[in-house]
Amino acid sequence: MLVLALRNLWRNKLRTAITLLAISGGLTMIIMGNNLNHGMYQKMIRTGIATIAGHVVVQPEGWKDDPDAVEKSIPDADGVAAKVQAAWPDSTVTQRSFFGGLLTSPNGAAGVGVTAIQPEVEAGISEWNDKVVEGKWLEPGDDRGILIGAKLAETLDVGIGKKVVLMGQGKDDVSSKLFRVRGIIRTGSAQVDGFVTIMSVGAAQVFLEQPGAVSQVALHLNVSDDSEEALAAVESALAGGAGIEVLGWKQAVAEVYEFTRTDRATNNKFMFIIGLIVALGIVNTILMSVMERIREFGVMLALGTPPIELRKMILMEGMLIGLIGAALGLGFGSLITSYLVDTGIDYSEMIGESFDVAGVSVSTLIKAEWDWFSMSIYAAVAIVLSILATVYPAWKAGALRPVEAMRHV
Amino acid sequence: MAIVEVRNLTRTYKQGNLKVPALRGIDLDIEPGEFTVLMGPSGSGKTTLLNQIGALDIPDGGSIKVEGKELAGMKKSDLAKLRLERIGFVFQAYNLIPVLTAYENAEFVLLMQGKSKAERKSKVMDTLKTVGLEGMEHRRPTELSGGQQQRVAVARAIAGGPALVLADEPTANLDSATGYELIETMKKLNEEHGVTFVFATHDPKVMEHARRIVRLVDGKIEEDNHK
Repeated sequence: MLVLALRNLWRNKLRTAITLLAISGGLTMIIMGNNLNHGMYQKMIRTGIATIAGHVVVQPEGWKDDPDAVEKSIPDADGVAAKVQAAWPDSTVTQRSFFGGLLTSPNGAAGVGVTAIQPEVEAGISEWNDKVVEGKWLEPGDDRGILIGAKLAETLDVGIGKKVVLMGQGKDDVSSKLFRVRGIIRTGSAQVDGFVTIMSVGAAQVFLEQPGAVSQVALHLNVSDDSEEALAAVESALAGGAGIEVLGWKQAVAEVYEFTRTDRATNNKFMFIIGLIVALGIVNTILMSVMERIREFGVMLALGTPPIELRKMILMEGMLIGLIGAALGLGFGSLITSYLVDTGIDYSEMIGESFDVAGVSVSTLIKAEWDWFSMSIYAAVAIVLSILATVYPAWKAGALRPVEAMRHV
Repeated sequence: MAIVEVRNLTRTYKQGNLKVPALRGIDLDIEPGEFTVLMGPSGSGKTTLLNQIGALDIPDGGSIKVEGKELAGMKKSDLAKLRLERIGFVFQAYNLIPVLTAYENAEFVLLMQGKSKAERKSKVMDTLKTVGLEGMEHRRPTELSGGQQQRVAVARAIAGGPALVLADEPTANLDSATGYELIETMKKLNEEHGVTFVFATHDPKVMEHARRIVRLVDGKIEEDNHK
C-alpha cells in the first residue's frame, strides 16, 4: 500500500504539488514569523538582563518594592561580589546602584534615573558604552564624570565637559554633588534618552553617603543555559546573609519577561488563526484530492481490494504528503530564518531606532532566532493535520459500494 | 459442480417513491469453462445480474453461490476476498486506474493478492503478451487506444487466475473490428486456459462466439439456449 500511495502522489504531480505548496508555504510563513518574534523576545530579555539586571541578581531584601529607599543597600558589596564570583567562576560579576535625583545645569533642570556602574566591568556586559555618541565612556576611577542621555543634554542645554549638579536623597540627608559631563548617550528611545544618567559606583557611594554599598550585585553568565544552576549556587553561597535576596533573571527582569510572555501569548493567538486558515486550506486540498477519485476507489474495491487496505492507502498518502510538506516547510522556513538571523528586519524607519519595554531600550533592528521546539511542534501539527484530513475520506472510501462508486463522475 | 448457482434471485431499485424491479426470480447455473452471454434490451437486468454474481451488489432475495459458497450473509471483507481471488471483471468503460501504466494496472490484482514481485512480473508479462500488448507495458491509459485499454482490462481480469470472468458490455465503446479482436482474444483464453466467461451484451459479435445465450426480458430469463 505504501508503494501505491507513493505512486499515486508521484503520478498526480500537479495535485501533489498544490497540496505540498499549501502545507510547506503555510509552515514556512509560520516558522518565519515565530522565529522573528522569538528573536525579538530573546533580544528584549537579553537587553534587560544586560542593562538593568543579570542572570542572577543579589539585591537588598524588598528593594524591588521600594527602589527609591536609598537606605536599602548591600553594605559589603565587594564581599558579596567575591562570594558570587566564587560560587560561579565562569561569569562576570558587576555592582550597580539605581536611584533617582534632580540634575541641574545653568540652563535647566530635569528629574533623572541614575544607574551607577563599574565602568571597566559594565563595558563588557551591557551596551551602554556602544551608545555613547559624543564624548567618551567613563574611565575606571572617574568619580567626577557623568554620562547623560542625548535628550536630557538638550533639556539641560549642556555638552561635553560642562558642569551639572545632581541633587537627591542621601542616606541621612539631601545630597548634592557637582559632576562634569563626559559623554552623551543615545539609545533611540526618547524616554530613556531623556532620563538616563550614568556614573561610577564609587561616585554613587559618595553621593548616597554609603561607602562600600550598592543596590545590586549582578552575575552575568558566559553560558546563559546555566542560569538555574548558577542561581542555586549563588543562593547556597549567600545562604544566611541577612537583608539580601537572590533572584533569578525571570524575577530580576520580571516586567520584561512578563511583557514577552503576554506578547507571545497574543502572537500565538494570531498564529493560531493563521494556522487555522492554512490548516483549512490543507484539509480542503487533501479532501478534494481524495474525493475526486471516488470512481478510482470504486474500481479498486470492485477488483477486490479490501476496504481496510484502501483506507490504509489513503491515510498513507496523507501521512506522506504531510511528511514531505513538513520537510519542505522546515527547509524553506529554515532558509528564510537563516537570512533573518544574519540580516534581520530593520523597523527603524517605521518606529525609530529603538523602543522601550519596561524601562529597557531595545533596538528596532530585529533579528530572528532559532526556536527549534516551536518549529518541531508546527511541523508535527502539519503532519498530524494532513493525516487527519484523510481520516474522513479514507473511512468514506472504505464504505463505498463499488457499483455506485464506479458510476461517480 | 456449477461455478455459479443462482436461485430465485430478486433485486429491486428505488427511484424516489417508485420501486423498480430489476431482477424478478432468476434461476441460473454457470458451469466451469462456459462462454455465456446474457443478452436482452436495455433495462432487462443483464448488468444487475452480473453485479449480483460478481458480489458487487447485494440482492433483495434468493441465493447466489460461487464455487459452492453462498454469498448472502458474507462479510464485506470476505466478499472483497472472493472478488480478488476468484472473479475477474471487465467493464464497459474499461475502468483502468489512470495513474498506473498498463503493466501496473494488470499487476494490481496480483499486488493485492500479495504475490511476490517475481511472480507478479512473470504473470503480468505473460498476460500482456496473451492479450497482444507486448511492448506497451509502460504506457498509461491515456496513451492507449480504447481497444488497447480494454485489453489491459482483460489482462487485469485474468492475471490473478480467477475461476470466473464477468464482462459487462466489453465491446460497447469499441469499433467493430477492435471489438471483434477483443472477443477473439477472450475466446482464446476460454478455450486454451479454460477461463469461464459471462458477458452482458447485445453485441452480435459476442453472441456469435457464445456457446450459451441467456435472454433476459424485464428481469426474467426468457430463453436459455446452448449452442
